[in-house]
Amino acid sequence: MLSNDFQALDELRPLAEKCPRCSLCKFPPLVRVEDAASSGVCPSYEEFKVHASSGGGLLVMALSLLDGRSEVTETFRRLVYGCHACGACDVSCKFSSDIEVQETLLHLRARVLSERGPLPGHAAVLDAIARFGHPLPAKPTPLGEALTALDLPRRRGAPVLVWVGPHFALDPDRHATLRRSIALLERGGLRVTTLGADEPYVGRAALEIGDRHLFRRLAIDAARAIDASGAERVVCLSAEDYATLRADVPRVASLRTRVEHVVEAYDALLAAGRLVAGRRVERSVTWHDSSYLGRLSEPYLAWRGVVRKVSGQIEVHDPPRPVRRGGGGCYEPPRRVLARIPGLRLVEMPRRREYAFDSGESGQVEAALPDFASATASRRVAEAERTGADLLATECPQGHRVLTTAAADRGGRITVTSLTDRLGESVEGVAS
Amino acid sequence: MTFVGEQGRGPQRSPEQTERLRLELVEALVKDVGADWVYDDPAVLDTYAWQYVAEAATGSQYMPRPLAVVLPADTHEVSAVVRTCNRLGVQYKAMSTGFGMWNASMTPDNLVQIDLRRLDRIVEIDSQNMIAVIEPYVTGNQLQTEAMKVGLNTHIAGCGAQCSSLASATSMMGQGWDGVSMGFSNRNLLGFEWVMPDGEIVRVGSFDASGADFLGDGPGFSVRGIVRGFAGALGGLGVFTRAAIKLYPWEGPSKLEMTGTSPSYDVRIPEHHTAAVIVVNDWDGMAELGYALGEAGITTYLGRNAPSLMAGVLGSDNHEGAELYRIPMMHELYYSLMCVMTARSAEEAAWQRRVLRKIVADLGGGCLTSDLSLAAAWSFAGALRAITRRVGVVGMARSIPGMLRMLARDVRRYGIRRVPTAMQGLLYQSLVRSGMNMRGVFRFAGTFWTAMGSLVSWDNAIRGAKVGAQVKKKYIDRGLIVDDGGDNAWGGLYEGGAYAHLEELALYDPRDPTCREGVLEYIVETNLACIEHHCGDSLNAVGPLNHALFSPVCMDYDRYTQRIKKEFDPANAADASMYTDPDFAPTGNAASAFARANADRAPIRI
Repeated sequence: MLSNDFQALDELRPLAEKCPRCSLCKFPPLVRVEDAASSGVCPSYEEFKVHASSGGGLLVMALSLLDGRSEVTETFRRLVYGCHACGACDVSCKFSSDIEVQETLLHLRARVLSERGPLPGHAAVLDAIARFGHPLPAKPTPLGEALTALDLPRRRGAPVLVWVGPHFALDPDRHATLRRSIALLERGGLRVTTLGADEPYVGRAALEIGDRHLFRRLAIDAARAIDASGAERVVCLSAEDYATLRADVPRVASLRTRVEHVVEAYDALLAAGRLVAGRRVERSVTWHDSSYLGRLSEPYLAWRGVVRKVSGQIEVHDPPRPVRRGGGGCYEPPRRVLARIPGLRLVEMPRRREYAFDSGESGQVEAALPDFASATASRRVAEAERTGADLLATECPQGHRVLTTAAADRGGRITVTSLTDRLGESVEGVAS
Repeated sequence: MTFVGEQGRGPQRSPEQTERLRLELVEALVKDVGADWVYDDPAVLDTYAWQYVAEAATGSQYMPRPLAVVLPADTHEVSAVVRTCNRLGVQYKAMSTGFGMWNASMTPDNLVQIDLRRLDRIVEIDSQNMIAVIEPYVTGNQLQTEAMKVGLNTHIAGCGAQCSSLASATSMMGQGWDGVSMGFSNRNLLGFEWVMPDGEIVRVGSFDASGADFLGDGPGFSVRGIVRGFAGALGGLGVFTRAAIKLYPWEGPSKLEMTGTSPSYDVRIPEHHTAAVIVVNDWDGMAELGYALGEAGITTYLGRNAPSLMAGVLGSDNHEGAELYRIPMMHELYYSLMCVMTARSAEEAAWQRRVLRKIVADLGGGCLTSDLSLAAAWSFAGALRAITRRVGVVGMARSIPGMLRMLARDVRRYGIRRVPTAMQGLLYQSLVRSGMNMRGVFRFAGTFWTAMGSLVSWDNAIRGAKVGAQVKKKYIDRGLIVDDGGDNAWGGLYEGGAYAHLEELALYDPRDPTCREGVLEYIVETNLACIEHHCGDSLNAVGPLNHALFSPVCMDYDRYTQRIKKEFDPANAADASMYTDPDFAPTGNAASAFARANADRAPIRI
């Protein structure tokens, strides 16, 4: 009996062994390529260029390890973590296959961590989780303390639980946006609450570094906290938390409460006329589909079944195995929200939606290999600049930060903004 | 038995000597290209050893490991690496996008793998003269998207748009969907920069007074013929670092309009373009159809997918694909070609469509096209009549539930308005962007290997398809490959139908040793059948063992390629495992494998 809930690297071997080394993982789905400059989809392959740094290369590294042909050397470890785990390779591969590239990579990280330990930057992240309850070693304040200091609304019985997350709570530069989000939701008539100091960290960093036991513990705590709140739905401000709660927490914990991202809530409120974007924002904007808000948030699809062969050698799963191909991420809501802001003109980047290029925020790369994260962000900003847009909008706090830095480093030709801020500008009474 | 030659020939070194050599080599390579671009970690080397159809060469999914991998930045660094290899007595092999076991060596611990990934620029697109100058890591996709912006298009090989255009043009074969209008890879090579086996850099081709490339050959003897010929030297004659490629007119928009979400993308077929599946009644009709379409000059893309491949491409996963393939009218869609016609005006498009309908009507067939006119509907009825003749009324009736399920899926995915042209849209993407080939060949069973497929006349290609199908039946009956009804002939016509190819694919599970062995037998048997039934040589005829088989019946060609290899590379510095080996002598193993295949040959009736 097979399952979509892969427990170990070994379980992924039969799928990995189907890699034909075709290199589709390095490019957006071929029919979606629009120009040569934006024809790569894998940040690590763009940066390091060696095949081992691509999705297919990492599959073979895993197989080589499983086959006893190689060991986890320092080069091995650097290559495995020199990857944003952004899932773009997984999307491109699955246009033509059912190979689980992303799953294999995350399980490979767990194996590498157990055999060789964390990279120094990742050790600091794990230490921060242990000491402060969040993954940001540069912010030595306990998460609960930071959330308490924000003094956000706490209302017993409120149906909407706003999930703040450490990237908003601990970054003073994002506090204005955080408050604007809550103001917009309230302006739309939602009765919202937060958990304050009781909001735990959902554990994304542990999953991405490969400490799956730690992730399991954190995920279970997060699921319990959400369900215990009694809220009908949880609205995540952070794309990372949204992805984790939708796609990863359900594998290890029962989560009964519906999970939304704040842009989905805006979208619904605007569609219902409960929120009105009336002021004109005369700008052109390009939307960055963050990996977390996009492909990585596609919900986990539970499955158990067997492999059968029909017509001689055609391999089918019985019952049919649902495969996450990236299309189930949050793509339309932010575009609809932007379209409802009068005067704002959306210009799309060539790499978008499920095959968007990462912005350097994911995979714990920034903690361990910051130069690589900066290079990725710079590539994404360059793509945004080529659209001619004034604004590069995202709704991911880490993405906002790395893109802002990259845009400034490139001469400030484009301004990085958050969708919340632009919506707030357009909705009467929320701008300040 | 291995397929391309004998493994393990090469310098005899102890493990200690090999390690010493590796250290010395890495130190030298670091001097050539910098420490960031040299790897000798075993797992990294394995990512280069893991190759498509490695099992045909080694019996496992890994080829022999190289000693090191190096990523030079430019031609001069490539030359420095080649000189280092010459100096230290190790072989080298370059790869661009690197898809297939011919990118590796048959000899373990004796190779420097030169990964040309960093040479990735489109140097120039000269729209006036319709020439692109490219580096090795420029893919068909990249070149096409940029060419389309200036009203031009490029030939893309069947391996897919993610593959290197230069590698195909200089060093490999290069069949593709666009062959009818854009030829074969070797026909589009107008010039190249070549790091010869000893490291010397030369530029080949003709250049005008400004230094621009304009002709692949001459004046004088054909260097292009020497370095590549039909199949290319597969890395056995040095490294190609730049190529001038011929481009063709593109009668379409500067960018294709795509919508939808993976795995169901939808293309808006440009106004004056037509995608069509053409159905006739039998192989004779197919032969007439190919020639007539070639002669009419109305198609930009023209080729054949066997029904199983078509189901694989159209289905978004194996379940859908297998279900589609079980539908009788799909399963029996043997006698069909697919095409895309591109026109600049409504009048030209209407003329193309009229000509197409006339040709297929004269052959008693019909077509399903993206044109939704009344006349097109009548032609579609003709296609249905042709299929009915094949599957019978009962077969058509049995097809209805499956077709309805397919239509319901299309409604969900594309919306009801797009349903009448959804299939044609997938077909258009598949042919024009060469972006869906991998679905057809890899997803069903894991991998495929191919047989037959020489460049011959269209009649002979069809004859080869008939022969291949009969050989294949035996392996289907043994459960070793996908049951594609015996038919899995993929190919098309080239340069207006002047020549053609149909190769006989076998889809199998690369993880299953029994399947792997079985497919090797299938390859040997089809190669023997090629000779016996005059089908030309085979696309899989790479490596010394196959040359030993085909050369005696093909004017001793390998004797000449061996002389070329010796003349240009006396030190045998460029790995020629997949090219030719002047010292090769078949072993008893090879002889017994051929004898075994010979003793158990499938009966073939033409």
